[in-house]
Amino acid sequence: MLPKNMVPGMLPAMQVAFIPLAEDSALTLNPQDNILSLEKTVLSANHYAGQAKNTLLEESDRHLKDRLFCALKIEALVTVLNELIEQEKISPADLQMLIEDKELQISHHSQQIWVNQLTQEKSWPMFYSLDE
Amino acid sequence: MSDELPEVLHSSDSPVGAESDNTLLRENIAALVQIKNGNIARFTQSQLNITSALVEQKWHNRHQIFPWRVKEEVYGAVLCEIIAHQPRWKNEILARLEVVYQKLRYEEAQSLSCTRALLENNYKTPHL
Repeated sequence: MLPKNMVPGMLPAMQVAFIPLAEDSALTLNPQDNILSLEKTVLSANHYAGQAKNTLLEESDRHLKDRLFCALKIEALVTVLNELIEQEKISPADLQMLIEDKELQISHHSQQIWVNQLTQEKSWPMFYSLDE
Repeated sequence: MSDELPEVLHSSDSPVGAESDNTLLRENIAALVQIKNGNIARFTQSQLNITSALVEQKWHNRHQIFPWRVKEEVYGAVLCEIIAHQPRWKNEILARLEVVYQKLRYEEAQSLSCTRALLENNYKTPHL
Protein backbone atom coordinates (compact mmCIF):
# COMPACT_ATOMS: atom_id res chain seq x y z
CA MET A 1 0.00 0.00 0.00
CA LEU A 2 2.93 2.31 0.74
CA PRO A 3 6.39 2.13 -0.82
CA LYS A 4 9.14 1.08 1.59
CA ASN A 5 11.17 4.23 1.13
CA MET A 6 10.64 7.87 0.31
CA VAL A 7 14.29 8.66 -0.36
CA PRO A 8 15.47 6.27 -3.09
CA GLY A 9 18.47 4.18 -2.18
CA MET A 10 18.29 5.12 1.47
CA LEU A 11 19.98 2.46 3.56
CA PRO A 12 17.74 -0.29 4.89
CA ALA A 13 19.23 0.63 8.29
CA MET A 14 16.80 3.54 8.34
CA GLN A 15 13.92 1.11 8.55
CA VAL A 16 15.54 -0.89 11.30
CA ALA A 17 15.52 2.27 13.42
CA PHE A 18 11.83 1.74 14.05
CA ILE A 19 11.84 -1.82 15.22
CA PRO A 20 12.40 -0.89 18.90
CA LEU A 21 9.17 1.11 18.71
CA ALA A 22 7.32 -2.03 17.68
CA GLU A 23 8.61 -3.84 20.77
CA ASP A 24 7.35 -1.06 23.02
CA SER A 25 3.88 -1.32 21.67
CA ALA A 26 3.74 -5.07 22.39
CA LEU A 27 2.70 -5.77 18.82
CA THR A 28 4.52 -8.74 17.45
CA LEU A 29 3.87 -8.04 13.79
CA ASN A 30 6.66 -6.50 11.82
CA PRO A 31 5.33 -3.13 10.55
CA GLN A 32 6.50 -3.94 7.02
CA ASP A 33 4.56 -7.19 6.93
CA ASN A 34 1.71 -5.60 8.79
CA ILE A 35 0.99 -3.03 6.12
CA LEU A 36 1.09 -5.73 3.44
CA SER A 37 -1.48 -7.86 5.24
CA LEU A 38 -3.63 -4.79 5.91
CA GLU A 39 -3.50 -3.98 2.23
CA LYS A 40 -5.11 -7.33 1.48
CA THR A 41 -7.92 -6.55 3.91
CA VAL A 42 -8.53 -2.99 2.80
CA LEU A 43 -8.03 -2.97 -0.97
CA SER A 44 -10.60 -4.45 -3.32
CA ALA A 45 -8.41 -6.24 -5.84
CA ASN A 46 -7.59 -9.22 -3.65
CA HIS A 47 -11.24 -9.89 -3.16
CA TYR A 48 -11.22 -10.94 -6.69
CA ALA A 49 -8.82 -13.85 -6.81
CA GLY A 50 -9.65 -16.08 -9.74
CA GLN A 51 -12.41 -13.88 -11.09
CA ALA A 52 -12.48 -11.49 -14.01
CA LYS A 53 -10.78 -8.21 -13.16
CA ASN A 54 -12.91 -5.18 -12.46
CA THR A 55 -11.28 -2.03 -13.80
CA LEU A 56 -13.33 0.24 -11.52
CA LEU A 57 -12.08 -1.53 -8.41
CA GLU A 58 -8.54 -1.48 -9.75
CA GLU A 59 -8.82 2.25 -10.35
CA SER A 60 -10.10 2.80 -6.78
CA ASP A 61 -7.19 0.83 -5.34
CA ARG A 62 -4.66 2.63 -7.50
CA HIS A 63 -6.07 6.05 -6.63
CA LEU A 64 -6.05 5.28 -2.90
CA LYS A 65 -2.42 4.16 -3.03
CA ASP A 66 -1.40 7.26 -5.01
CA ARG A 67 -3.16 9.60 -2.59
CA LEU A 68 -1.80 7.84 0.49
CA PHE A 69 1.80 8.02 -0.70
CA CYS A 70 1.38 11.63 -1.85
CA ALA A 71 -0.17 12.61 1.52
CA LEU A 72 2.64 10.99 3.51
CA LYS A 73 5.30 12.61 1.33
CA ILE A 74 3.72 16.04 1.91
CA GLU A 75 3.54 15.36 5.66
CA ALA A 76 7.19 14.27 5.75
CA LEU A 77 8.34 17.30 3.74
CA VAL A 78 6.35 19.70 5.95
CA THR A 79 7.79 18.10 9.10
CA VAL A 80 11.39 18.31 7.87
CA LEU A 81 11.03 21.89 6.59
CA ASN A 82 9.55 22.95 9.93
CA GLU A 83 12.47 21.29 11.70
CA LEU A 84 14.91 23.26 9.56
CA ILE A 85 13.23 26.43 10.82
CA GLU A 86 13.38 25.23 14.43
CA GLN A 87 17.08 24.46 14.00
CA GLU A 88 17.51 27.93 12.47
CA LYS A 89 18.98 26.43 9.33
CA ILE A 90 16.59 28.62 7.39
CA SER A 91 14.56 31.64 8.48
CA PRO A 92 10.77 31.58 8.15
CA ALA A 93 10.97 34.57 5.79
CA ASP A 94 13.51 32.86 3.51
CA LEU A 95 11.45 29.69 3.48
CA GLN A 96 8.33 31.65 2.57
CA MET A 97 10.18 33.35 -0.25
CA LEU A 98 11.46 30.03 -1.51
CA ILE A 99 7.96 28.54 -1.42
CA GLU A 100 6.51 31.46 -3.39
CA ASP A 101 9.35 31.18 -5.85
CA LYS A 102 8.77 27.45 -6.43
CA GLU A 103 5.00 27.87 -6.52
CA LEU A 104 5.38 30.41 -9.30
CA GLN A 105 7.90 28.26 -11.16
CA ILE A 106 5.82 25.08 -10.93
CA SER A 107 2.51 26.82 -11.68
CA HIS A 108 3.96 27.67 -15.10
CA HIS A 109 4.46 23.95 -15.67
CA SER A 110 1.38 22.61 -13.94
CA GLN A 111 0.08 21.57 -17.34
CA GLN A 112 2.94 19.05 -17.47
CA ILE A 113 1.78 17.57 -14.16
CA TRP A 114 -1.75 17.28 -15.50
CA VAL A 115 -0.61 15.69 -18.76
CA ASN A 116 1.61 13.24 -16.90
CA GLN A 117 -1.41 12.20 -14.85
CA LEU A 118 -3.03 11.18 -18.11
CA THR A 119 -0.03 9.57 -19.78
CA GLN A 120 2.03 8.44 -16.75
CA GLU A 121 4.92 8.83 -19.16
CA LYS A 122 7.39 10.20 -16.62
CA SER A 123 7.84 8.91 -13.11
CA TRP A 124 6.85 11.05 -10.13
CA PRO A 125 7.97 13.47 -8.83
CA MET A 126 8.69 15.62 -11.90
CA PHE A 127 10.22 18.78 -10.45
CA TYR A 128 12.49 17.54 -7.70
CA SER A 129 14.65 14.51 -7.09
CA LEU A 130 15.92 12.98 -3.88
CA ASP A 131 18.32 10.75 -5.81
CA GLU A 132 22.08 11.20 -5.65
CA MET B 1 -19.85 7.53 3.90
CA SER B 2 -21.68 6.09 6.91
CA ASP B 3 -23.07 8.36 9.62
CA GLU B 4 -22.95 6.02 12.56
CA LEU B 5 -19.23 5.32 12.25
CA PRO B 6 -16.99 6.97 14.85
CA GLU B 7 -14.89 9.90 13.73
CA VAL B 8 -11.40 9.33 12.46
CA LEU B 9 -8.83 9.76 15.20
CA HIS B 10 -5.34 10.95 14.51
CA SER B 11 -2.88 9.03 16.59
CA SER B 12 0.08 11.17 15.53
CA ASP B 13 -0.79 14.09 17.84
CA SER B 14 -0.53 12.21 21.09
CA PRO B 15 1.26 8.96 21.84
CA VAL B 16 -1.31 6.27 22.40
CA GLY B 17 -0.79 2.95 24.10
CA ALA B 18 -0.75 -0.36 22.27
CA GLU B 19 -4.24 -1.25 23.39
CA SER B 20 -5.98 1.91 22.24
CA ASP B 21 -3.97 1.72 19.03
CA ASN B 22 -5.35 -1.74 18.45
CA THR B 23 -8.90 -0.59 19.08
CA LEU B 24 -8.38 2.27 16.68
CA LEU B 25 -6.98 -0.10 14.07
CA ARG B 26 -9.88 -2.50 14.52
CA GLU B 27 -12.42 0.31 14.17
CA ASN B 28 -10.69 1.68 11.11
CA ILE B 29 -10.44 -1.76 9.49
CA ALA B 30 -14.16 -2.29 10.09
CA ALA B 31 -14.99 1.06 8.49
CA LEU B 32 -12.64 0.43 5.55
CA VAL B 33 -14.03 -3.04 4.88
CA GLN B 34 -17.51 -1.53 4.84
CA ILE B 35 -16.41 1.07 2.30
CA LYS B 36 -14.71 -1.63 0.24
CA ASN B 37 -17.80 -3.83 0.24
CA GLY B 38 -19.89 -0.84 -0.81
CA ASN B 39 -17.54 -0.25 -3.75
CA ILE B 40 -17.60 -3.92 -4.72
CA ALA B 41 -21.40 -3.93 -4.63
CA ARG B 42 -21.60 -0.72 -6.67
CA PHE B 43 -18.92 -1.53 -9.22
CA THR B 44 -20.05 -5.05 -9.99
CA GLN B 45 -23.68 -4.28 -10.78
CA SER B 46 -24.53 -5.93 -14.08
CA GLN B 47 -26.41 -2.89 -15.44
CA LEU B 48 -23.42 -0.59 -14.84
CA ASN B 49 -21.69 0.67 -17.98
CA ILE B 50 -18.11 0.01 -16.91
CA THR B 51 -16.49 2.07 -19.67
CA SER B 52 -18.35 5.31 -19.00
CA ALA B 53 -18.18 4.85 -15.22
CA LEU B 54 -14.42 4.34 -15.50
CA VAL B 55 -13.93 7.47 -17.61
CA GLU B 56 -15.93 9.46 -15.06
CA GLN B 57 -14.05 7.99 -12.11
CA LYS B 58 -10.63 8.59 -13.65
CA TRP B 59 -11.59 12.19 -14.39
CA HIS B 60 -12.74 12.71 -10.81
CA ASN B 61 -9.63 11.05 -9.40
CA ARG B 62 -7.22 13.15 -11.46
CA HIS B 63 -8.92 16.33 -10.28
CA GLN B 64 -8.80 15.13 -6.71
CA ILE B 65 -5.08 14.32 -6.61
CA PHE B 66 -3.81 17.13 -8.85
CA PRO B 67 -3.50 19.87 -6.15
CA TRP B 68 -1.65 17.41 -3.91
CA ARG B 69 0.80 16.53 -6.66
CA VAL B 70 1.46 20.25 -7.18
CA LYS B 71 1.92 20.79 -3.45
CA GLU B 72 4.30 17.84 -3.15
CA GLU B 73 6.32 19.08 -6.14
CA VAL B 74 6.56 22.59 -4.61
CA TYR B 75 7.65 21.44 -1.14
CA GLY B 76 9.99 18.84 -2.63
CA ALA B 77 11.55 21.46 -4.90
CA VAL B 78 11.94 23.81 -1.90
CA LEU B 79 13.76 21.13 0.09
CA CYS B 80 16.02 20.31 -2.86
CA GLU B 81 16.81 24.01 -3.32
CA ILE B 82 17.86 24.23 0.34
CA ILE B 83 20.06 21.16 -0.11
CA ALA B 84 21.57 22.62 -3.29
CA HIS B 85 22.57 25.76 -1.35
CA GLN B 86 23.88 23.83 1.64
CA PRO B 87 25.30 20.54 0.34
CA ARG B 88 26.86 19.82 3.75
CA TRP B 89 23.37 19.29 5.17
CA LYS B 90 22.34 16.96 2.37
CA ASN B 91 22.86 13.58 4.03
CA GLU B 92 21.46 14.78 7.33
CA ILE B 93 18.31 16.22 5.73
CA LEU B 94 17.66 13.23 3.47
CA ALA B 95 18.21 10.80 6.33
CA ARG B 96 15.82 12.80 8.50
CA LEU B 97 13.24 12.85 5.70
CA GLU B 98 13.44 9.07 5.39
CA VAL B 99 13.17 8.61 9.18
CA VAL B 100 10.06 10.84 9.29
CA TYR B 101 8.55 8.91 6.38
CA GLN B 102 9.26 5.59 8.11
CA LYS B 103 7.58 6.91 11.26
CA LEU B 104 4.49 7.98 9.32
CA ARG B 105 4.42 4.67 7.46
CA TYR B 106 4.72 2.79 10.73
CA GLU B 107 1.92 4.81 12.32
CA GLU B 108 -0.27 4.15 9.31
CA ALA B 109 0.40 0.41 9.60
CA GLN B 110 -0.67 0.62 13.26
CA SER B 111 -3.84 2.65 12.72
CA LEU B 112 -4.89 3.08 9.05
CA SER B 113 -6.17 6.50 10.17
CA CYS B 114 -4.91 8.32 7.10
CA THR B 115 -6.29 5.65 4.74
CA ARG B 116 -9.69 5.94 6.36
CA ALA B 117 -9.68 9.74 6.35
CA LEU B 118 -8.79 9.66 2.64
CA LEU B 119 -11.64 7.31 1.79
CA GLU B 120 -14.10 9.29 3.90
CA ASN B 121 -12.89 12.51 2.27
CA ASN B 122 -11.91 14.28 5.44
CA TYR B 123 -8.14 14.25 5.10
CA LYS B 124 -6.41 17.61 4.68
CA THR B 125 -2.78 17.90 3.62
CA PRO B 126 -0.67 20.02 5.99
CA HIS B 127 0.52 23.52 5.01
CA LEU B 128 3.72 25.42 5.56
